[in-house]
Amino acid sequence: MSVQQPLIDGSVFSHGTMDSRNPEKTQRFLQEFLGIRSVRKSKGTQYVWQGGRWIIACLAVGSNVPPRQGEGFRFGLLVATPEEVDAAHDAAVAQRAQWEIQEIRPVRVEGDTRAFWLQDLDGNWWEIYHRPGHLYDDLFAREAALA
Amino acid sequence: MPGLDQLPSKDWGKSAASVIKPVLLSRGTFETIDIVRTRRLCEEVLGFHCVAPAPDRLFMRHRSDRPGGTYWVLEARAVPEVRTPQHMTNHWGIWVPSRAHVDAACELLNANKEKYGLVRVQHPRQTHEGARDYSFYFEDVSRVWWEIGEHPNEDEFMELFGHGDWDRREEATR
Repeated sequence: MSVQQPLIDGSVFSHGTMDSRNPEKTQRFLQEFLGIRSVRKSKGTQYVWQGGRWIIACLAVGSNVPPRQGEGFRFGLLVATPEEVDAAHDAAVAQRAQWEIQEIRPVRVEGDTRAFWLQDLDGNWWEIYHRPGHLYDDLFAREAALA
Repeated sequence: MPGLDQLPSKDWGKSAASVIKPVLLSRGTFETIDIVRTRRLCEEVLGFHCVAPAPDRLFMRHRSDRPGGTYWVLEARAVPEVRTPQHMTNHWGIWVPSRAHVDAACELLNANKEKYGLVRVQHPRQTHEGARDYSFYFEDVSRVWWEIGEHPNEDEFMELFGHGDWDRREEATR
């Protein structure tokens, strides 16, 4: 792990971005299905967050704009237990039509992470996952010890 | 410290009940066709701590994150080809404290385009709704877009979030 000062000084990692085609409908999905926070400005831009100091800026785009976020570009939502991953997957399957969820991938286990991915009504990809321990502290601590 | 650190403790923008109850919006992912240059860019320039648990995976957390707190992890995964290249409006954002920092970052990236595998570095300009921000965008070799913008005061976002959803008429009169 690098201990050198980065070339860009004083920076903060602040946000990611995603698209919305119907801001009111998108906001309902974010708040009522995914369970994350959103405030919406009148031109459709939403600011989305959950539990940390980082945000997603959700930009209103025209209905003719195709999905621009590929499956490899996802946002991850940490849930408290592995059972909650399975329950979320079951709910996504059961409520797929209601929320216009486009794709739902199967639950998979990779190492100690249990997760599934879904593509929402706007084409954005979400990962619902559980990993034991506090975030990725173990990975960063191991790397620091080796440095 | 006032500002976005207080955000998790507020009850703004929340549904009374939801199907999923996530603890944290905690990570983002992207694909890279050159994981070595991605690491170099993120570590040497953008200020991320990087770890590589496997040759094709890179986990990053920013050095500005507070020790012991929550943090957002970016995960880059090496692929032979990026299936869906990002659009400029789908980007990762970095804030710096002043306009001078934005200009200096742009100059630095332009001078090191090949070293860090940058395809395009745009000029800084007034951006976003109402031209309220000063920033620029750049695209790396994996077609991942990044924004570097001036944001000296996080409190402006607290006010925005605390206001809740904006009524159309109210905003029209501002």
